Amino acid sequence: MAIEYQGDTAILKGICTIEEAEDFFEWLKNEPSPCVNMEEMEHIHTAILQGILLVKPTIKGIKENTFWGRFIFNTSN
Amino acid sequence: MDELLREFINESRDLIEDASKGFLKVEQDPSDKETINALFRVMHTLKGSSGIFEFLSPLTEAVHAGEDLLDEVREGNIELTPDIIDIFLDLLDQLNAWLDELEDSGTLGADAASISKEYKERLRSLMGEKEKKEEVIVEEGPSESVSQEIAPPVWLKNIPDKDRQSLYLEEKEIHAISYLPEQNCFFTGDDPVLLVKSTPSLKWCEIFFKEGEIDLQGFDPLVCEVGFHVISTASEEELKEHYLYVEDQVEIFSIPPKALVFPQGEKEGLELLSPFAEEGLALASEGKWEELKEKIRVAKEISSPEGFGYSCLSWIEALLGSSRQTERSLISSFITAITTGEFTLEEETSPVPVAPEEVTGEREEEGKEISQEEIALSLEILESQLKILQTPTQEEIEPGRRASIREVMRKVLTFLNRKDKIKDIEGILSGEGEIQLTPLKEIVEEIKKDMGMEQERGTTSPSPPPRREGTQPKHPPRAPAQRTEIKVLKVDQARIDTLMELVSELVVAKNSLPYLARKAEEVFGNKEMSRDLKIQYATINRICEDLQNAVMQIRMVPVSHTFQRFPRLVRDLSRKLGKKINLVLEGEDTRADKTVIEDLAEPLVHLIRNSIDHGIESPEERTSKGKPETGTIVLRALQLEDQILIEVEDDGRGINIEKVKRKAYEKGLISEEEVERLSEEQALQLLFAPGFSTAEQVSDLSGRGVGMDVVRTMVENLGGSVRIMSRENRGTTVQLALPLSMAVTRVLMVETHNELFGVPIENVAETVKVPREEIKFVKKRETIVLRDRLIPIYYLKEILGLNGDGGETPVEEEVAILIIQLKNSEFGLVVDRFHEGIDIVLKPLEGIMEKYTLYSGATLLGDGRVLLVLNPKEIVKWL
Repeated sequence: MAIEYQGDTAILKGICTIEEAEDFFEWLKNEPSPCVNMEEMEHIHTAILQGILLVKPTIKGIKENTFWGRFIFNTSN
Repeated sequence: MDELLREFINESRDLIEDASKGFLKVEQDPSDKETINALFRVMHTLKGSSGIFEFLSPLTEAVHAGEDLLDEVREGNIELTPDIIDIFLDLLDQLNAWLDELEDSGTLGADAASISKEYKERLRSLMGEKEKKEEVIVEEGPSESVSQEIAPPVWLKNIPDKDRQSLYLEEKEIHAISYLPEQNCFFTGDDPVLLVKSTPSLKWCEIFFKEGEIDLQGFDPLVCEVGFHVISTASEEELKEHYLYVEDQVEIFSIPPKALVFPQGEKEGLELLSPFAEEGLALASEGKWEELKEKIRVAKEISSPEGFGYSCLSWIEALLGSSRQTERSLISSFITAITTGEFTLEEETSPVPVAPEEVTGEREEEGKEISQEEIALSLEILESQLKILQTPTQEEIEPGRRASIREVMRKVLTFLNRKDKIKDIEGILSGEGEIQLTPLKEIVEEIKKDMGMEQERGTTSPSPPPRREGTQPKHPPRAPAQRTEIKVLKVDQARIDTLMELVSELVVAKNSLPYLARKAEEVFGNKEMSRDLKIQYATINRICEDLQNAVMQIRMVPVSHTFQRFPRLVRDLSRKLGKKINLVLEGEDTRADKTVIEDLAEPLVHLIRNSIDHGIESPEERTSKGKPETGTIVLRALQLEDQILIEVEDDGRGINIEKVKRKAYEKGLISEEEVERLSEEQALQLLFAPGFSTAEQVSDLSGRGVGMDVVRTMVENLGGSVRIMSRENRGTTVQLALPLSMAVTRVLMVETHNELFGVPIENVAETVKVPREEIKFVKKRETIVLRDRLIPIYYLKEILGLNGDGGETPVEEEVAILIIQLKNSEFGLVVDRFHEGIDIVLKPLEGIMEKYTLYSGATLLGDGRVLLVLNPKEIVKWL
């Protein structure tokens, strides 16, 4: 499993595939103040990504000069 | 790495190895139909199992092309020449390379799509005329992704100044891509963000929701709702190739570099910059660029970074940095824009997206209702400015910071129609040195009160809800530093295999003890020694059995290993086919030997596919039949003595026996007469014939007639059997019976012609000694009557052709007959003598012996002799 849940934080590690999208979105939706840690994330499937963009949880650990930091998580804010 | 992916990698490696051997074999003997079939099945399986992973689509597509070509070969339309085999071997190498990439990084390299395309083209170009024509038709269709030189897309304004500046100055061709993935694209294996991420020469991109507003509750993460805007400096060809598989969802525009040249931002406060503009224009006309640079630095400090003025200044700065003299004329345009608030390109031809209306944050319409939410937000902004002011900072950036705070506060106050307070605030903020915070706070409080938000006092931030409170880093509870006991060991399977080998050798070695005991007694006449040896043997035998059991237990894994992949498969395929299917897994904890479980995967994929594709009907069809709309597939495992039974049961349309017969007749598998004569049971057996398929249409999933014969071959190779039961419109059940473990086989030793042979104990129904006179001739065949059944008998030494010397058949009163029971037949084998049963590790025959299928293998006996083990399933064919 590439997503670990620790209390109000989901830790995304490595490559997060579509298999985890549904569970992850359920968690996002139901967690009152979710936080997503992407420090060790290499890739997230679009299905997971769109859930994050929709719920807008607190995001941590995004590396600035990466595809994710430059384009995905700053343009979405 | 994902467990599923790891399994896929391991399985695929084996398949690829098989395939390369196969191709080499076919190269020697192009008429080898069996191997061609096997190669086709390998491609078919690779296509199917890689299809589970959406990000592997380049691999799937390449393999698919290979499968199609092999299908043509199989049909005899194309000859498998060495040139074609070269391509296939290249493809296999590429597949291995992809698997390596997968193992290292969990995904395919960025160039996978283009490599895949190359293979597809090479393979497809070899196909018959039919395919070529189809391709022509496709090419004649309107080509969507031709790059368009018409008006550049309006979203160029979303690109930050900095990125547009460097793009403009890079002097490369620029392409804008608008990618709107289909809603169901995830099910065809697309991961749009991956595709975008790997765009060649990606310079900028943004992601957005296609529909704008999305309802959180009704949102399905598996429906793609997002789209992308991408800027790349790659060539049109490269981009087209990259987005080839989604070309209908992509628009590619060629962007003239000048279209990126425009300032943006809020035009408030431009008048502050007008003194600079006047000077700047003068400096520019005189060519005093260094001085102009200095002026810009100062001007930037006093302007807000979000503003139109700042944007113009940054453009001028960037253009000054360029060595191109031509850019100098643009500089004047930007300086002019600072005074006029409008930017115009002098030699502009295409309509450049002008800074859009909404970015001028000014609220022109006085008196327009401001909502409570807006007020709350505005107040929050004001408060945050106060907080910023309280944060200590470096001296050199302090003036800039103050200027920007002043700007923000001024805008908020304008928005709130409280321009009366702007002067006060500006007064406080424009001074040098310490800022008086208290008066500022008072002003904010006063505004708050006036706006009717005083009830919010006391809470730190009025709105939105304090989501971010949960962001404090929470360290996961650390494990105490004490010594922890490891309960589960992960052991490399090679070590267990070694252990298993050693146990097998021990089993063989222990079998020599009884011989030694006999020798002690017969040769050396030492009875005592013989007895001691026998006692010792009993002990070693017991330990040996326990050891063997223990090792076997280690190798036993639950079927869930194989079952776990199916929910996903069923889900994806049923969505793809528009069917509603509920998969029920039963007995997932049932355990069997690792090899059995691993090898189960392939046949099961075929069976489940068959059930989904051919078994379960569409929801409409089911409703019209009075069945529940949702079909059910039960995947069941249970242990039955020393076998594991796997059942795939569906409540679909069942098998139409008549159709099966007709099809078999059309395919030339049975004669006209047999069509009439075949029983239901026998007709169902036809499904296992190679090349048989009742599906009318070749679908993406199955239905090429590879399914059932593959299943049977694989299951039989595992030492198991397949049964199929079906009732029309009620459903079909396929039952696989497999041995729990394949490591140790128990055989009964028999002697004939002074030779020892082993017979697998599972085929031996019983051993009988029949008085010679009871052997009767029935239809010219020697037969015995055993409990009211007629059983034909055969002489083993005749079957094996043992006629030489030493074959002194003892003429005894009674004849020893081994009753062999097979799936469909029962017969007796006459031997000279029965011996004991022993556990052996069966080694397959190699080399020249390989073609003697009468034997399933051999083993070493305790005294060093080789014991050949008979294969009753083959023997029956020789009778």
